[in-house]
Amino acid sequence: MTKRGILLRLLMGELGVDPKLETFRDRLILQKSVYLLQGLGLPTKFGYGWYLRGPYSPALTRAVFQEVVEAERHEEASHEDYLLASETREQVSVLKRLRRQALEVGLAEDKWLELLASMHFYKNAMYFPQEVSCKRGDAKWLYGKLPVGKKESFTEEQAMKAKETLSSAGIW
Amino acid sequence: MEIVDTPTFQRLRRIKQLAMASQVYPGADHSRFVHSLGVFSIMSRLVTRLNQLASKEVLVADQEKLRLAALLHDIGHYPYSHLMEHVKLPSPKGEAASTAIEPKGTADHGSETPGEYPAHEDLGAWIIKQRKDVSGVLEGYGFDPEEIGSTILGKHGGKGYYNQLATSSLDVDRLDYLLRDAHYTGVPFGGVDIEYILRSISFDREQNICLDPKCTASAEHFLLSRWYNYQAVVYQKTVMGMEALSRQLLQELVNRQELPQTQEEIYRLADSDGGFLTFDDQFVDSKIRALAADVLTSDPVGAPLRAMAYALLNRVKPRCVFEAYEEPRPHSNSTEVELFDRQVPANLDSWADKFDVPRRFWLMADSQTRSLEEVRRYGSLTDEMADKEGVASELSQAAKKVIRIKKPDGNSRFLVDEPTSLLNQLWESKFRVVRVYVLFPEEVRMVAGSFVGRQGRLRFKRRAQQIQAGISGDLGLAEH
Repeated sequence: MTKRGILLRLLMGELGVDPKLETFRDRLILQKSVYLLQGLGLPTKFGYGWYLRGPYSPALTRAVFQEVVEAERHEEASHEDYLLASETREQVSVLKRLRRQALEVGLAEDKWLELLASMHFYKNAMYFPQEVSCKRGDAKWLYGKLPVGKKESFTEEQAMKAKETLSSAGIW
Repeated sequence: MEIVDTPTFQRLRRIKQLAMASQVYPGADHSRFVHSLGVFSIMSRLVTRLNQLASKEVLVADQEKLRLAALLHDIGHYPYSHLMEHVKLPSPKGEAASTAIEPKGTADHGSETPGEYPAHEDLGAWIIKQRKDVSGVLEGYGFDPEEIGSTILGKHGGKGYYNQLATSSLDVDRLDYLLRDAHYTGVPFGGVDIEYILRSISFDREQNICLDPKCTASAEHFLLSRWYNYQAVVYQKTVMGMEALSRQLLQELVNRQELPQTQEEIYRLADSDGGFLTFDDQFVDSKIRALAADVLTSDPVGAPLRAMAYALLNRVKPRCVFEAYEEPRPHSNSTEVELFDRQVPANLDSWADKFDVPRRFWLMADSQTRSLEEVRRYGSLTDEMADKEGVASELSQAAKKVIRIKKPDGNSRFLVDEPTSLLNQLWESKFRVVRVYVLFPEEVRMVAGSFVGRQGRLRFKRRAQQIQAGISGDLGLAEH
């Protein structure tokens, strides 16, 4: 495995994600977690675009399947000779704290991560016309801009809570 | 003209603009040389136009620099154009992920992600500074080679509009290649009114390049033409398959150490007197010809490489066995495309066994996501964002690449924001196609051994269809 693969494998361990990534839930948690971790300073540079379930990186999917899942299939365990650097552990710790707040808003962790990542993406990366772009700091306004499907899955209150959570982590 | 006469610039005659497109469009044999002259010509007309707008003290001094940057923008291109740029090198690229982990003991056995050759723009900027035939001419006329190189990279610190002219949705490079590629391929997407676009260019209050509102339709036509050009030429099924084969072959040549192994080696080559001048399409072609000549040799060592070389030389096409398009609607999540990312790489080994085609003959091709306008992937620039580092800096750079339309108050707005513009409705459209191809070594040997008519090759077409059905079944896809 490359060092990038080792990093992803270690992160999956911390996130409680099965390295075989057989379930959609695990794949979603990994995608949104890496997205938020990059916002917290993780030095990987996976590019994300907007997809049905929020920000998604095809490159991350390729990397994790080609390296981590393949290594798992061959029972390769080179990641066991490494641990996360202290700065990375700190970033993961912040992410875990954000995840725990799912309980407060009555969402499953994967749904909460989806909301956090989606609100973050809309705030920081989604295109809006110049005349209205200044409103992107207004979480209520952003919630109104989410696709219909997202508004059906998440309430405005939950979106406000997502904004507060991201702000508390310094990445809103 | 002195620049054009330098051996370094003449090298561009021997690098095709469109790599494998001539496999489908036989007329598409034009070179980077003629394209570079075309870009120079467009820039010359453009600076004449800009000079009519602003005070001569601002622009006259810059005219020649812009024209030189246009002329030299492709000077660093590799043989086979973009195909060689992304081969994986044995040497690592020293990635940032290494800083996020640490070894437990003393053993540090994790490999680095393979590096790649320098981007051709970076190599070009370096060549302009280092190769004496080019830098000597520039300095002889009082130009700074470094400044010309920065303009090509879109990183000119002093003059923002330099960068916009060099690297934007409406930059001179795109204006030339759209028309030129359409002309040589014969596809009907090149009828864009370039002259009107050039006449309509001006500055807004913040010195951004923008277009007169009357030019909106022409600008839309340009973006749409480029969109269709991608689909008809660049990502045409056979073109993509032959380019996937070329990439595989180039990778094999790197692995055999027949091509430079490190970034440093590339820069040494670019600095050498004779070596770089012969680092062109013919250099790679000669290696392919040598391999292909022995395709019928019974020695199993090197047989796959010889088969690939023969196939490339003689247009034995890889056959498409999987294809998926990302849906154009902006908020879709195409399951089949995600399968390509997730399951296809993991299944290739088992499919190679199952369908009895050696793994090295399975080729993956990915257009990556393309959009009508760059803004789709990036947010709009606000002052708040511009003050932040990282993502905002990237957004800031991206925002400068987007086509702008001048407003009556002298400011400008993005074309995609114009309520009456078609782009306002379509800007979210995206395009991505992913394909898996198989090259049948038996088909290559059959073609090499004797003339094989259409009937003889039909069985390989049927075999490809069987593999396609098998893959769809394995991936749980419905039959189309």
